Amino acid sequence: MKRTLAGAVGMAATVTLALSGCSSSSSSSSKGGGVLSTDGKGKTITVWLQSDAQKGWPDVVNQATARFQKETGAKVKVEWQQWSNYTTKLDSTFSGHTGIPDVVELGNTQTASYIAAGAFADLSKAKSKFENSGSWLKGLAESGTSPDGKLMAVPYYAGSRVVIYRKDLWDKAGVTAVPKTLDELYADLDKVKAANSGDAAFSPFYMPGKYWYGAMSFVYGAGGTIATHSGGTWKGALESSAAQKGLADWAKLATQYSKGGATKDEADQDNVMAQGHVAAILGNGWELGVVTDPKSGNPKLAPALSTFPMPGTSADQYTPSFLGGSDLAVPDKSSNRGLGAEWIKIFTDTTSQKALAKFAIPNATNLLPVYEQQAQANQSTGEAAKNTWFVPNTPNWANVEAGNVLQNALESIATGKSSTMDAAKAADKELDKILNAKA
Amino acid sequence: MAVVTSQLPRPARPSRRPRAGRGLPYLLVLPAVVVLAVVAAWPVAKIVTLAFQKQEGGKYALFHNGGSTSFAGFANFTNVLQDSTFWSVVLRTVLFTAICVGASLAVGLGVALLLNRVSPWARVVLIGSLMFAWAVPSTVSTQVFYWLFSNQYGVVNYLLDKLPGVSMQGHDWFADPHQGLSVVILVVVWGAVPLLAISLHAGITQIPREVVEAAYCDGAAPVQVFRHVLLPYLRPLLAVLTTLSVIWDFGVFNQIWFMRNGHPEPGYQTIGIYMYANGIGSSHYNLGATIAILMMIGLLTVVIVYVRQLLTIGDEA
Repeated sequence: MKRTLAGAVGMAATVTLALSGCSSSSSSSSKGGGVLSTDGKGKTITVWLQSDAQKGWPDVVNQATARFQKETGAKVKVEWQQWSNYTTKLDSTFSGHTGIPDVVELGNTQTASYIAAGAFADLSKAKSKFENSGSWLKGLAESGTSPDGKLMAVPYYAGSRVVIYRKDLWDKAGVTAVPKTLDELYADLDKVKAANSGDAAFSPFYMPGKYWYGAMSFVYGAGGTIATHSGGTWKGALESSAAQKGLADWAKLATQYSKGGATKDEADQDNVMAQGHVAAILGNGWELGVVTDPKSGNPKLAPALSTFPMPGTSADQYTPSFLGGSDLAVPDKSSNRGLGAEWIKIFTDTTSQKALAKFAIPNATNLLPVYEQQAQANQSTGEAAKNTWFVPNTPNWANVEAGNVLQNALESIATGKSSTMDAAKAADKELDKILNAKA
Repeated sequence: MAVVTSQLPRPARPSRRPRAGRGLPYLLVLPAVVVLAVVAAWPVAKIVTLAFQKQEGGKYALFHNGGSTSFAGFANFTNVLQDSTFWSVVLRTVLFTAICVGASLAVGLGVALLLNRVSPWARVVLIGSLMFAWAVPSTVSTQVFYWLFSNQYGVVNYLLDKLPGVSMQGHDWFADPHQGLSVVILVVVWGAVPLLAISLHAGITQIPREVVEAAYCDGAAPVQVFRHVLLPYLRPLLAVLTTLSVIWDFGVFNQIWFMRNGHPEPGYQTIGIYMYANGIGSSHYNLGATIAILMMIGLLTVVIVYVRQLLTIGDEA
């Protein structure tokens, strides 16, 4: 009997692990948040950054920290985080009172639910002191602002997606000009496909079935949207004729020009491309480096890779790109909120962001030229960053992602199990339920 | 198990020591009790509390009241039990568990019988390989099986395609959850067989040889010997192993989670996955705790039957 109990308890351990951070003491006081502080003698602040920075731009972090230490006398402890299960970690940390970091990085689709839950300090009073705050990228700035207009999170960096393609394969197929419309793209892909018909595993355009950032771009490009908001009620809008057109555009890529990815997401698309049987993918600019990585990728492809923004339904407009990115916030329960805000101020100022622009899209439009000068791919992604879309800005959105609502719908289209309409109906029903849940 | 131990010589009784007060045994057992209370009782108490507290939509209460919300009676339970998805998940989990347990016991017993027949060097090689398989973490074995069944470069499709009349070029094993779960079952069974085979092999070696020989002398066919001699001896061991297997396979998580790259489709949701997706993954910790309790109750009811059987066997011996 004891053995049985132990087993059952073991199974429940998954739950308790996340819950063990919960304590039942009273809530935090609200000392005037958002005031910058430079008085840090003998103090240490803890900063949670995603490991993207550790791998991509550690020097940018180091120079900001060095300047911060010189100015305030406080030490900085950077703790590197992973995206997977990150919200679970944030939940258990914020529900407790110890081990609270002074700065956290969040994905811009994650901020809304934490802002609504009062997890962050209000930085509104200090907004004018943050450099370039007048020209912050719109998508990032909105994701860091509460519904009543308070600044709760500061834009950090962004990413936009473009077509990464094998120029050598396209040239060989007789395609030398970059397509200006989706129809031209399909025609070009037909040629690439025909030129490689001997390769059974060949994808003229690899488009994984769960790639919802990709698919929704076409929905927005066709004039559709994921969900509409009116009179306080959200309504899933994938059944609309515009959204259906967009889904059909995407499905064409996923079913006619893509092989082998119907039940996968985009996580390993760079490795798939590195295998050599893929002529194009839709990816972030930095993914070029992953495809050609000497360890996990194929460096020989480097000279053959090039990029262009995903063309749209007409020649005068690109298919909008999802504006992914990160924000930085000061947890309300942090004991060094002023110092945390000061570190963010330094890490997002012009000096830091110009250094960051070598690796990612900086947080303000006036810094985009710096980014675009770095590489050919940056011109495409910088161009794509000018026409972007963003998810419905509601605290409940995080649960749409956690529930894989769009991914499941798209996979059923890519595997041919559902029509775009049937998949959209099922997804809209879920969207209505999740987005309108009472907070 | 009882049969096995009854073969061993009983250890000599420890010599009597002078009495050190009646409290001493309790004192000695105290550390263990404290550890159990911290690692088992407290989390369980916390889960039970959570399950009876109101599930808020947002995280405000979580961050500002230490996760405590007002008590809501059985509201969470009614919510979960009225959800038709929950019941289809339960049905899927029961079938999944039954197939996994049945298959791993059958294969384990087969390998154990084989171990008993082969020459010593072959036995060493076999047990060695089993140990290696056992040492592989489930995350790794799942990834390896995922690659084996990869639709474009997987060796399984490649080999099946070689068969005359079979075309498996580009076949996606994970498009249909039934096929996908079959692959998961394969990984689970693969991981379970080593322990079962080695335990059952040990059990078989404990069966007195003369009993088996007597059966053969009486003209029993091998199948009859297996059914009427070997199986009765192995019954207590089989009961223990079945109980453990049910517990393990009912809560299978890693193999499904990693086979679907952290995004299991609805058709792949067994109860563990469902609990994670609807509880922790969506920050709905109260609902998650409720599902966890229902899971425990369900498992206890099933396993209690086996445990009772185990106890009666113990009494007989």
